[in-house]
Amino acid sequence: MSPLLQGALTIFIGVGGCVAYFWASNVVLDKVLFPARGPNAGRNINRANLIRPWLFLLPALLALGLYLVYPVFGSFSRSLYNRTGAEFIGFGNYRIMLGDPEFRTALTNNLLWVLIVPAASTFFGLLIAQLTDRLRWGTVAKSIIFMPMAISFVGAALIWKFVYANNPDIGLINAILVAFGTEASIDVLQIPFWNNLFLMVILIWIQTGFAMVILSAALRGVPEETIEAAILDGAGPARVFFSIKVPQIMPTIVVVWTTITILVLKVFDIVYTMTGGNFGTQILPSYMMSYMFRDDGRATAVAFVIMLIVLPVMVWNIRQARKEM
Amino acid sequence: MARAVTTNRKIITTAVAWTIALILFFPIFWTILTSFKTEAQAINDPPLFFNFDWTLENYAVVQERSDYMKFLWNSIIIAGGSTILGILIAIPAAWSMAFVPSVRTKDILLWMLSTKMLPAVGVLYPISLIFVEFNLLDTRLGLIVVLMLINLPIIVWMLYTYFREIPGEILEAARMDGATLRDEILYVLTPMAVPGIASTLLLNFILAWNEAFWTLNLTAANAAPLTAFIASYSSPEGLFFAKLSAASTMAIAPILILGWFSQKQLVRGLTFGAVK
Repeated sequence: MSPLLQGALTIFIGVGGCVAYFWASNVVLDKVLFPARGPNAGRNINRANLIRPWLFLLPALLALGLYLVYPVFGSFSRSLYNRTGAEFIGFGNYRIMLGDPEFRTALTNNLLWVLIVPAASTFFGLLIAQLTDRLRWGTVAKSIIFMPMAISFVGAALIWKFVYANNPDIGLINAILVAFGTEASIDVLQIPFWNNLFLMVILIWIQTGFAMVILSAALRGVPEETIEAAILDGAGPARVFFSIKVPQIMPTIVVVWTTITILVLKVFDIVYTMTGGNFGTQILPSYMMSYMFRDDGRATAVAFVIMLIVLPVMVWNIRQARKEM
Repeated sequence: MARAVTTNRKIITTAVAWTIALILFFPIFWTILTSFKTEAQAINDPPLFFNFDWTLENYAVVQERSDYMKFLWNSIIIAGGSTILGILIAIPAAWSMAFVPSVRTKDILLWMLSTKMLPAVGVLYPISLIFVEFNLLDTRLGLIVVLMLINLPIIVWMLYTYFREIPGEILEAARMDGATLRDEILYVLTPMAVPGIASTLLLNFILAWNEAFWTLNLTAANAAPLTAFIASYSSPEGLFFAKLSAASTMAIAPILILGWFSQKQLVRGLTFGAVK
């Protein structure tokens, strides 16, 4: 079967199945379980209306349950077994992992990512948002800055290969170095420690546009009177920005910061595509992938550790969302 | 009242802002430009800006060597399929929560939010077991399902926030006039929510299109979409820069165009409606 036909058929069956479920469950509810006739018509209608929302929620809840609940437990239980999955070894995988220097590298690097990327993206986003505020053609400038956000991480990584390329005729970094008179070209992705920062630059590049769009909307929402008052009181532009605008958009800054933090904890594609975790650039997800399908016990142990690390940020973020609802 | 800003300051700000914008855009611009050069021109010293012979041969070579069209079709089918499937499941769910809220609605929404924050690496192993079990590895169907699952929370949330903006009285009025539930959802709610649904479709399509973690891990030759195509070009050996940039351009162009028009939707979706 041609792939196109196969795809269309798949979609057709899926769509048909969904529509059929909603239709059929509704009919059963209204006609069979609680028919709107007979002596109890009123009560039946009420009951049907109580159940209906749950009927409609069910597929979504089931789907997410399948995606979340089972796999989390599945991962954890697998991590307690050895490489082949035949022998129960308790926390053996975790013990080996904690003793592995590579794991410590990955953990430190991940910590650096979490500290640096959200901070830098938010900072640059805020800076650019302020600069493009009330700018002529500002929307075009913003759209251009936002562009990297639409590209996938692997696509972005590929583009940055050009910036970082070893060859001074191609790589921007090396071209600049040569222009300043250095002789030999270097591979920036192999410089210990600093290569981590070079990889982070890619994600910062992507996320700056995201931060900027949100923050510039927030900046525009700052009441004009507060700024006027500050200017009349003799505040300079910097003072107005830091003492008047920033405090007022603090909640938005926090949203941006935490959203990017969670994203950073999930990011895997950039390191995978650029260095494959070599040259000391390992982060936890790429460290995990180096064991995946070879020693699933160790891989799932790493996976579980990642989830544990994400948990506090997640809980905090959900608390925030609950407050705002 | 607009504030008076001195002309000088305005010029400086404009210059700085545009310089930053152009610097940030430069990697993309350079990649696209290089894709139209020959290999020799690509590594010319000094770099050539517009003064070279534009050629399309790199695109032909890339298509021939790795069958770009196949990846493109896979991307379209997978992103499109997961989007349609997701929205069908999400509309009734969002309807329930927006118009028939219960005490649990808030918890359900937040629970959905939490699944989106869960790192995919955490669930890769069990999901891949399911894939093996059901023979879904390297099939488009499998990817459609997984991508639908990972983006479902966003779809439900987006639709929920859009539905909430529709006054419930209108639906009530339709019900009073004798509309059945089906009529209510199909002929009253959906048309009113079309802008919201369209934004959600667009956002989800982009997210599914860009998804790399699952597509790289669960596909091989058959169902691989463009993200896998890009990754296959990322190995450093035998790098031909003009061809590499042609491949990059082909991989990012469709989504770059979509992304330009959907900033608002992307932002709204990625912050779960916290930013409108």
